[in-house]
Parts: sequence; C-alpha cells; structure tokens
Amino acid sequence: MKLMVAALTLVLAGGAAPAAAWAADDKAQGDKTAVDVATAMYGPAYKRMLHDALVPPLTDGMSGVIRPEWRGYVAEAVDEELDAKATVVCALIGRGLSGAATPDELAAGLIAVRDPAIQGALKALAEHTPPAQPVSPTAETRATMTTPAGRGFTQKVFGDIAKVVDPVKEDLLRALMPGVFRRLGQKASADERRRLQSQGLPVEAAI
Amino acid sequence: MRAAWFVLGLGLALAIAAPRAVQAATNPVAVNTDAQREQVAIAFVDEFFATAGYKPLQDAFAGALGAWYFANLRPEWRTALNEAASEELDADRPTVDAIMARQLAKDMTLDELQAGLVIIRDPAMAAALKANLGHAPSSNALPPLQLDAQRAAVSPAGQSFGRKFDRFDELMSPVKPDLTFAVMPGVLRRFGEKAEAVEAQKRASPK
Repeated sequence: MKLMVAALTLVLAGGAAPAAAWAADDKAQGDKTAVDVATAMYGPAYKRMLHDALVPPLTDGMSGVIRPEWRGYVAEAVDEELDAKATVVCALIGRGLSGAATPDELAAGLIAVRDPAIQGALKALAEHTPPAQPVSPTAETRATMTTPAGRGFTQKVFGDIAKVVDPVKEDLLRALMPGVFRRLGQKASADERRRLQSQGLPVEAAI
Repeated sequence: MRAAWFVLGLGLALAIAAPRAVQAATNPVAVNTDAQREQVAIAFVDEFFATAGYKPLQDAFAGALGAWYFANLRPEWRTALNEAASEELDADRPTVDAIMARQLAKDMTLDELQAGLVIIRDPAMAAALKANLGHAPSSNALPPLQLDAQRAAVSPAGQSFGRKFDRFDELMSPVKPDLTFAVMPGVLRRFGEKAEAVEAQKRASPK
C-alpha cells in the first residue's frame, strides 16, 4: 500500500491544471462524503485490503481446530461476509476517513476515487499487480488533486491506510467476525457431516 | 480435553483400588468382533459421561477457544463462546461418544471392555466420580463397590482394563483431532449466530 501514495502522487501531479476552489463542507456533509469515499474505494481497494488483513491470521490462528481442507473456507467466509456487510463496513471506514482527513480533502478525494482510471490504479495496487494500462486520470481529477486539499487527501488517505483503519479496527472486527464464524462453521459442518457419514459415525441434525 | 482424561483416569484408579480378595468372575467370550467391542465401548463411554457429565470437555473447549483474540472483542462474545461449546458438545454427544468408543475398541479386548462396563455401572463408582467432580459429598462416606464390580475389578480382564485406562490420554491421542474437527464447525456456527445476535442488539439499543 505504501506504493500507492507514490504511484498516485506521480500520476496526479502530472497535470498542471488550475486549482479548483473548494468550499468547506460542514461536519455532516464531511461525514457523508467520507462514506462516499469509502464506498468508492471499497471495491477496488478496501475489500481486498481487509481480506488480506483477516484471512492469513485467521487461518493460521485456527490451524489446530480446523481441518487443513477447510482453510479455503476461511477465505470464502471472509469474502462472503465482506460482500454482505459492505454498507456497514463502508460506514465504519467512512468514520475512520472523517477522523483522518478534512471535509475539503475528502471532497477532493471523492472526485479522484470515482475516476475510473484511479479506481483501476487502486485495484492494481491492492492486488499487487501492475495496472492493466497507463493510468490516465481525467482533467478534473488532475486539477483537483493538485490543490492543497487534493494533496492532503493523497498524503493522508492513500499514504497511510493504517491510520484510516486503525481507529475503527475493532468495530470492523465486531461487524465482520460473527458472520465469518457462522459462515465458516456452516461450510465446515457440511464437509464434516459427509466425512462422519462415510465413516459410519452418527451425525446429529445440529451439525 | 485433559480434564476429561483426568476424570476417566480417576475412574480407573478407583476401580483398581477395589478389594482384591474377590475372585475374578468375568466370562470368557468366544466371539470377539470389532462390532461387539465397539458396542460395549459405546455403552461404557455413554455410562461414563452419564455419570461424570460433559462439563470437563465443555470447559476444556471453551478454555482453549477463549484464548482467541476474536473471542475477547466483547465480554458478551466470551459468554457466547462458552454457551456455543456447551450446546454443541451436547448436540454432538453421540458422535463424540462413538469416536471415543471406536478408539477404545481398537485397543481393548471384549473382556476388558465388559469388565470396565461392570465397574463404571457400579453405584459406588458413580458416587466416587461425582464426588471427585465436586457434584457430591466427599469420598470418605462412599459405599464400597458391589460384588460383581469387585470381581470385575480384580479379574485379569479388569486389571488389564485398568492398566490400559491408566494411559487413557495416550490412548485417545490419535482421535483428539477428529474429536475437535467433529465439534468445532458447530461451535463456530453457534458462536457466530450468538455474536451476531449480540451485535444486532447493540445496534438496536446503542448506549
């Protein structure tokens, strides 16, 4: 993710369009903008980031209590829950963004993160792959991101993902983990039921 | 699970401590099939847990899972995890008993298992187990084993049963993962559902 700031700064600093004037949002508008930013970044970046943050420690941490064959279920359960709880997760990340950037910066950032070129770049960076094509933001994005607010967004949000997520990390886990465990349990139960039946062992309806 | 093995080992120790002056009287059995041994082993395990209860197993599971970071995100989740482990072990009891019985039957002859069953069914043994688990008064006032249990305890099969039971933890080692994998999916599913209910309640009535 640290590459993200360098790459995006490079891309966005390329244009020398005149700076746009930004009216300061009030707090409520800033919070709404923050959720919009989180929502725009969720698909290309945050979802993958959360997947990467959750799946390895969860899989390793449960290695003694789940069959090796169930390790893939952990990733499936996390992905399904990230989809099911996208609205809640974006609201929480939005809260983190509100604390990390000013309303002006978020308003500037929203223009950038809705730009398909930036979305593509974010996705590639989150997936640790090179962009499919050269990143060519719109003129509006370039202009916006060369303003102080745009530069502030790039530095604070693209440059320090942990800072954005850390204050809401436990709330994210509280929102996601119950469903992850339920889904993992359901998937593993189905497999274990087949296994027990094939060995002639009794299987309760509850399994 | 160690607590459960300890309890089982305790049962053995009490049986072996029975008066040795009584003549052995278990009958030799001509046919000694896997199915017969499993049948008697299941009866033994059922009898044991009917007396000793599942609490040691439930506590062991909840204790192991309680170390999880995720289980401690909310105090209510810890309670939910204890409940989930307890409910799932109750629901999975036929499976757990069958897995343990199958393993017992691999290592013991029909004579040994039958001797063990006679001993475990003795009211004095039940009282001794309960006393040692804190469910009943001290063993000072416990009655002696009845004649058939005394005979079983001092018979060659009963003595051999006792020696094998003395290493019960080692005997069950090969199936400990299977026991865990049989129970964990349901524990995870129940825990997830309970934690989701906790979260829903908190969202409905935020402080």
